[in-house]
Amino acid sequence: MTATPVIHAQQLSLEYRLQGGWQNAIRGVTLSIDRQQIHGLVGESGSGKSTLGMGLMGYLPENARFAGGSILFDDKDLTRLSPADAARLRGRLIGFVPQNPLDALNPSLTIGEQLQEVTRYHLRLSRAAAHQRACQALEQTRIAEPEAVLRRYPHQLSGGMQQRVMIAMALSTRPRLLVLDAPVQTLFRRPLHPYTIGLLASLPGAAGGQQSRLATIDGTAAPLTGRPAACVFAERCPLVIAQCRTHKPPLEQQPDGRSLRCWRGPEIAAGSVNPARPAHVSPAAAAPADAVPILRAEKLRKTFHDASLFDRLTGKASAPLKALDDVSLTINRQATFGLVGESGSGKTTLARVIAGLTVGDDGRLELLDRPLALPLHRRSPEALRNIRMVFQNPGDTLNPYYTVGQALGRTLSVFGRGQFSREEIARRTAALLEAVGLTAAYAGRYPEQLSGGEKQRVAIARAFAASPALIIADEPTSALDVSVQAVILNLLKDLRADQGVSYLFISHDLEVIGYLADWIGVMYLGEIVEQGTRDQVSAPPMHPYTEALLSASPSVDLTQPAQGIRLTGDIPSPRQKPAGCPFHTRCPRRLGPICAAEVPPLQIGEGGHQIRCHIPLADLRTLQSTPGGSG
Amino acid sequence: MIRYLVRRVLLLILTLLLTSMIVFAMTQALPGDIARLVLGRDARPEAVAAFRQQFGLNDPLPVQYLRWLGGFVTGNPGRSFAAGNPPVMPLVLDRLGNSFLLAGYTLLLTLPLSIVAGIVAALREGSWLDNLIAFISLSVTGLPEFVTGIVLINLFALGTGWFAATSLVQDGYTVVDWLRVLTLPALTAGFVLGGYVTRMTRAGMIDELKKAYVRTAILKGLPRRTIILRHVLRNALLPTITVIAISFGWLMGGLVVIENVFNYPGLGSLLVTAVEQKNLPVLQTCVVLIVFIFAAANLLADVLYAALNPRIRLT
Amino acid sequence: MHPLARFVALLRPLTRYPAAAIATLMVLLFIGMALSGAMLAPYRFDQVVDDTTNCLTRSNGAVRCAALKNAPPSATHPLGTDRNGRDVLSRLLHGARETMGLPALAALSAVVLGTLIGLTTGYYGGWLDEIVSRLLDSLLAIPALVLALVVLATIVPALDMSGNVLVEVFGAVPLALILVITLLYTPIVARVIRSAALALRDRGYVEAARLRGESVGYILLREILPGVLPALLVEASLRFSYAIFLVTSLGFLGLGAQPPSPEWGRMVLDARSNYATAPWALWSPVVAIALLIISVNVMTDGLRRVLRYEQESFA
Repeated sequence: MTATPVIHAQQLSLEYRLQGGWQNAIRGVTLSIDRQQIHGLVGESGSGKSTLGMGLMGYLPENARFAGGSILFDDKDLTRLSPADAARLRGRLIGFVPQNPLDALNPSLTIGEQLQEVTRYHLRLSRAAAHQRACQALEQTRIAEPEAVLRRYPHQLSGGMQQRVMIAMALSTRPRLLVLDAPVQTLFRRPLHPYTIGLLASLPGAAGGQQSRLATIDGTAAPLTGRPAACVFAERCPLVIAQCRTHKPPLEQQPDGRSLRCWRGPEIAAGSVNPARPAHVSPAAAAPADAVPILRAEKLRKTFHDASLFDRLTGKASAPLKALDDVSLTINRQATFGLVGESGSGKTTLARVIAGLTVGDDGRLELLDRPLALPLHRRSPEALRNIRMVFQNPGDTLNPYYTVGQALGRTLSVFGRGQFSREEIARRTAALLEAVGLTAAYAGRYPEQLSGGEKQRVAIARAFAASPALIIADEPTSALDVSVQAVILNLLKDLRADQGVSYLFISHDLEVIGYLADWIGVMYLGEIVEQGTRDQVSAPPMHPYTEALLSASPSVDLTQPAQGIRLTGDIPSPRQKPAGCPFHTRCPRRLGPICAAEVPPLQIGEGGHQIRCHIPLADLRTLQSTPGGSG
Repeated sequence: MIRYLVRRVLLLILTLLLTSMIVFAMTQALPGDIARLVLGRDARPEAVAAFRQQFGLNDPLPVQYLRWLGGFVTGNPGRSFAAGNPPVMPLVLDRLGNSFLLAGYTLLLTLPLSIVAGIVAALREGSWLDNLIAFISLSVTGLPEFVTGIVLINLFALGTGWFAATSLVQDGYTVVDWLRVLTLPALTAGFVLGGYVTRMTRAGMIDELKKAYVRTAILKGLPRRTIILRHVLRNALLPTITVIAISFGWLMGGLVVIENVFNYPGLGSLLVTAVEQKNLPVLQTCVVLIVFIFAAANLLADVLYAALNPRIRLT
Repeated sequence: MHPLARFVALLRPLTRYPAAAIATLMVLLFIGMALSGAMLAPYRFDQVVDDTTNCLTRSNGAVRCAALKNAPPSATHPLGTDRNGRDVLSRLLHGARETMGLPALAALSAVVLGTLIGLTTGYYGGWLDEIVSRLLDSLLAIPALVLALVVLATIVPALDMSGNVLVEVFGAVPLALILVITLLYTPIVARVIRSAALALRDRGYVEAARLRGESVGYILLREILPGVLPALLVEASLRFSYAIFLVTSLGFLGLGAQPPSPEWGRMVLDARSNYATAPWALWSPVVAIALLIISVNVMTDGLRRVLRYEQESFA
């Protein structure tokens, strides 16, 4: 190392008071951050990364304490400073940018007040000077009209602007170190530790295309009360050897400056062993060639009028929300229809209208060549059985008052129309649990005894219990860690082959969709702006919105510079849907007035590829094939 | 904001109309002949007929209601059934003034202490002090006013003679006389109210202290005092402000028992007398007036909340 | 395990809060008193006790004794006797049934009705919800005690004349009290349950039940109701406490239970004017009411804590 690091933690340990005793949360962590260096900290939830991040600022929750080691910053040891002295350092010399900016801002103070109080307190700036400094900090984040932003309250800003405000706040004292708590996943080139390798390999984008399976990590992070004494990862490590369970590996410097805490590090570095889970190729992953449609949706529409009775009587109803505008799609047997788009694009409404949970205003549905009523109560038991759903939030997908067995048993008995005996239900429940990778013993457990991933497996088992033709999965993995997400995605892929179902799979994550789907629809403000096969949608010609989404998704490989076009601003409110092409307000490839004036035509390309855009497909292809040809 | 206000006022008027109808229908629908009930079983038929004539009891109910409503709005809701048939309004207004005085004094006596107690309890959550405050506030809130009132009278009036046990308000009272008369009833009401305000404040504070913006403020390195005073209090006290405004309306109802315990000549004791004597004009006017104050206090609470909360004010 | 059994299991941590555990025990004792007090009492509630030191033997051999009025507490009369010469302890024991039974019945019916309304409006939402909510709001716009006064004054004579079977069973005043309290508290319970149900309506497991084609009844009672139980139990306990508050307050105002009823609020009223000669007759019901209400409230608070019980956690 050439210069003194900005911050240096040596053998840092942290404890939480839990159940009457002190439990180790951070054990012997050593790290240094140099000037102008970005030091990333990754891990699953519960791995302690947030605790460590805040510990580096000299701040601990009330039930935590430093248990050893030191943090050197500015010639002081943060673990030994009084709370008041530590407070004077952080905020001035160490800034913090939290994960969720809206919650992190005080709702009843203006942005200006919240920005200026930092510099006024730490740097003793005058009111005017603090105001000027706040403006400068906002300008650095390229926010429009900083003066006006200062006068606003947090709820008057968009999510992106709030995030910029948080960054400006952290930068306004010109700190030496910035701690950012961000939900960004891994960004590595060639990891060495089995855990890191596992995390990276479980990302769908890292998999070698659709034919392979995602690597997974067994289990979940151990609770604080049950941490292994030796290597913390030993129980979940595919390369575990006896030594890992008895001796804690030392932190060893690698030739390239990295440090690694693993007994098998040298072997991994030499390439003689590979900790990524062996990737089987599933035999029949590809969709059958003969496309038999099982569900057809034509011109679905849904508008929400959420004005109250009183508002309607007084004629003060707010603008209606067009959640679905003329959406048509077809889902084939044993195929996966992937639906992507930003939040607010109408993906969930589309799923709910097809499922019947939300009653569509207009349009036609057809299931297995029979018309399907829009309202749930007018659908036949057979239709209900054939469309099942897996919900987004594993936390509320199971009723906390029923065991897993009761939940699955109810579904079985409802769709078995009372023909199943008690034993038959128990047998089928066990079989379902095993099919989703759990054991029959799970039938007696309550949801609170399950992890998020396990709950989602049970939810999947519940969906399959009825042997449906179509399963609608609404972001089933967005609340899970990447390692668990990989397990669920693998499971869904296997089950599709085994059970011969089709999926309507919704995600905001292009990599997840790309891993699972054969046919992809891209939604924007209630319209499907493009649909086609996975390959059609990911290569030119594509809709400018798809292009922007693709280039906005972070690449695992840091060596490749960000490319393509960027989206500016936030998605407009569906209440004020732009006329003409709904994307024209943000489109980097906008043609001109025609985009705002006329609804773009649906252009059909090869193999049923559909794009709704004014730009001819050939032009799109040319534009998108030239590197750097963006506006 | 203005739209919000207009909407709220319209709703208030609607609610008042509905409730006044309910009240009127309920009281006027008394079974049997109201005239006979008031004049007694042995009243002569001519007297009964005259009474019915005098108070317009022969008209259909809607007519009676509209006449009464018109009178109420213009400040003359009719005459009392009681001896001498005095007009209702001056009587009611006089009593209302006394009740307002008592309610105001109660708030003055209770609020500062209970808000501070709530804040202290929240900042020391889980400590013995918090538990003590929680226990006391919990105990006194639920007690009927006549129980607390009787205890207070026996401790501070009959035992020591510091305060008056009954409150015969007379002309020419000095401030000290007023305090002697008002303090015990106000304390009685204050117990119920104070316990409630303390618990609300504590809960509001604890909720706010857990929020992410507090952590942001800590990580900004601000001193704890600044964080509490500048960041937490203004959010935590928002619900408390609502409670205070509502509690003023609540006092109007809660004073019924207290005024009775202390023989305080307020609206509540007038109401009880009116019920006992089946004095409908007085009863109806009292109830509608109390409902009006109650509803107005609720409205004030909502408006205050909206005005102090930028999330509502600026949307 | 049945969801109800699972819910009861959730209450076990109540023992971790000593105050709440003691209070729960006290409430159980009080309930025992209400159930068996009449059997335990040495005298009937209206029995006048003889003063054995002051007897006359009539010419026909019959012994006539004077009533033992205003006797201080002694071994035979642990709480003394009142001005009519009735044993205060016996009256307390007898009165427990009316003092707690009426509120319990009233709270129960309010909770059942309120839960049904709340679940339905919360689940369906929309116009039905708005109309019902607006109606309930109008009822809530009248302070509870005031509404109780008016309704009582109206329906007691009506019930008396109706000759209904229930009137025979309960008596007009107790039945009126039950009706009034049910009317008063149903909207409050409905509102609480409505917002609890509203929060559960969009849960995955409820939507999963809808997708199975389950009936509305099944969804409300088997999927949503268990999740609402914590709110329900806390609310029921709270309503019980407030109902005792109302019944004793009305008794004290002389508008509830009528003599010679041993309802505790009425006992306070009857003993008040005689305080100087027989303070024990006043203090006994006052302390009993205070203990009962404090116990119920501390228990409610314990329930509140236990049912929102969350394990300590970090991150």
